Amino acid sequence: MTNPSPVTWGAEIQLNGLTKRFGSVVAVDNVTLQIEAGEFLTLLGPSGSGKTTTMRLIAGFDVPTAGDILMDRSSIIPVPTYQRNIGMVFQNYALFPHMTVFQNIAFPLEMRRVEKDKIVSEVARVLELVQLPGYEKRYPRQLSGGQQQRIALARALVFNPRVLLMDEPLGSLDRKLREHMELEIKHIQERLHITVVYVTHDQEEALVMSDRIAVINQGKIEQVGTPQELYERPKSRFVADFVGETNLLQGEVSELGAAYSTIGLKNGARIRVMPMEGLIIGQRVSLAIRPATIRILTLGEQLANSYTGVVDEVIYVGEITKYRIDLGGGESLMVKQAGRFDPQRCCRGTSVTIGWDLVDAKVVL
Amino acid sequence: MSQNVVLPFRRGSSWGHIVLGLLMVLVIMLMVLPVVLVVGMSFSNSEMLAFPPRGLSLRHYRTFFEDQSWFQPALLSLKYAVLSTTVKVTLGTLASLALVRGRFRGKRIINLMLLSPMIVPPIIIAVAAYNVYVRFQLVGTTLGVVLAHTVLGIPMVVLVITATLYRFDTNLELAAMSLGANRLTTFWRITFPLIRVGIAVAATFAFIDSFNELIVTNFLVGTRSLTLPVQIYTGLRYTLSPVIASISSLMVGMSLLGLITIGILQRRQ
Repeated sequence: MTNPSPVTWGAEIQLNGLTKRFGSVVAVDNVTLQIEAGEFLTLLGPSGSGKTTTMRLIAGFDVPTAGDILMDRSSIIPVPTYQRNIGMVFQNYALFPHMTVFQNIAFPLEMRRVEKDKIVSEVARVLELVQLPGYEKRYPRQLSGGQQQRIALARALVFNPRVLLMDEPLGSLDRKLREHMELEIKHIQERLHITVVYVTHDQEEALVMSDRIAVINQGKIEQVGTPQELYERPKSRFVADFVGETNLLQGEVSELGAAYSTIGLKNGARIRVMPMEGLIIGQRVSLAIRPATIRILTLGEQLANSYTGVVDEVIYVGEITKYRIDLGGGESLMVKQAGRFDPQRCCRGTSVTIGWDLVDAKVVL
Repeated sequence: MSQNVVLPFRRGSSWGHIVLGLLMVLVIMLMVLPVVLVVGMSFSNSEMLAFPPRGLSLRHYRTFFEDQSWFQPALLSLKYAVLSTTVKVTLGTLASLALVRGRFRGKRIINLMLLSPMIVPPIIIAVAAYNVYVRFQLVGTTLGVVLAHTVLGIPMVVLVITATLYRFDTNLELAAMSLGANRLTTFWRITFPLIRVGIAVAATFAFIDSFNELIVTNFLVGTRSLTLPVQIYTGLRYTLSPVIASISSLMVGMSLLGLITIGILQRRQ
């Protein structure tokens, strides 16, 4: 077997105070991040947030203005791209159009002066890995988007890099194929035990694939954590809003208690939240409530928080139905209900009671 | 019928399309007819330029190859064309790379200056260049003519090659480098193979331009070493020899060959 599989083949990467300025624009602003060996880490952020620039710095396409990048504890800043041994998959695949699939995948091996026979067997091995055996003689233009994507992955993996960078690799695939590829990439990463740094603006993709996610906004890391941590305990408004759907409400702390604290909204509603350290009466805060945690209550049902409102809009999406509930005074909440569509709640203008548990409304700053 | 809107060239379409078709035929006739006439006259057996040709023969073609006053200028034109094409394409490729990839001050101005020989009338360039050349004793020298042809041909080369480079996806170079290729290898294995058709097209145009150039060359070749177009022009003023028709036909043939080459290259891409 040529496939090197010690428990962890991937390398550890550290970004220390990494900064990149283009003129007066700060694309990456003092980013410090530890990426563990063999970890699948996603840089998640909106376009222009600096996630791609961070990746280009790791690949060596750009030189940082300040800070350092360490691979297994030694700086790779002085190492030119072609000696970094880092695999890279591009958004538009960047397959060489004048070369066949075989020539494309053989390219990195040729650069490493691998002998002919070995190249042939290695190309066959990675084509097997991406489930496209026998495609050696095709040209990239003869392949579908999904197939080109796999070939690009095979080419980036054939020289057994310990780190793989992926820049929005699924961006141009249709939804079904994308969901399939998400799992496939994840499985390949687990099989090869390599470190993957994955860039995307798609939070769903990030949640499905990542061991950890670093949410980036305006060149800075907002929060790093497992998908679950980010989703359930967002530290900032931005993270709460960017990862998953969220209702964001503005309010003021009006009461601090042992069992719960209370946040008063502009429309007079008072919302109970879990007691939390560091809150002061009168402090302005944001509340994040996931639409899926809000329930439309049946008659007589009581939850820690329950309010009456009017159905303002109904969006039927198949497995789920979304409702916008107008609470009056300019406040409204999105509610997501799974399961069978209930015609009794369907209509606009129907008065309903909604509610959620104490833990489901999160105070974010 | 809505089909006529979708497919305007279907048979049975309106009068407008018939007029358009006639106009197209007329324009093409105007462009091609003179060439057809010249080629026709070149096969004549008479001593004078005349159409239709009286009797068919290849004697004027033979004269061209045997008469040193015609054949020498042809060789000279060939030499200037080869030399200036080499210089034009080398400099033009480098300039194009800088214009497309580089980030520097005054890029637009440099771009404009590189294209200016296309805008300034050739006769003005000719007079200006002559004045300079006299001072530096460049009139009638190989260096002088090659320099002038380079200046004249650079705009075309830069236009074709920058267009090629703009279409080139620079991610391919980054990909090659991430896969272990240094800059030089990346250029030869990735960049060059993908832009070489553009370069070949530019070179073909550059060669034809140089070989056919008359106005500026006429001023700069001096009196002894004339290029083929200059010799034809001079010859036309005294005699209307059918040899000129046969030479013209050969030149047309050469240009046609160049255009066909370009067509094949572009299709293969």
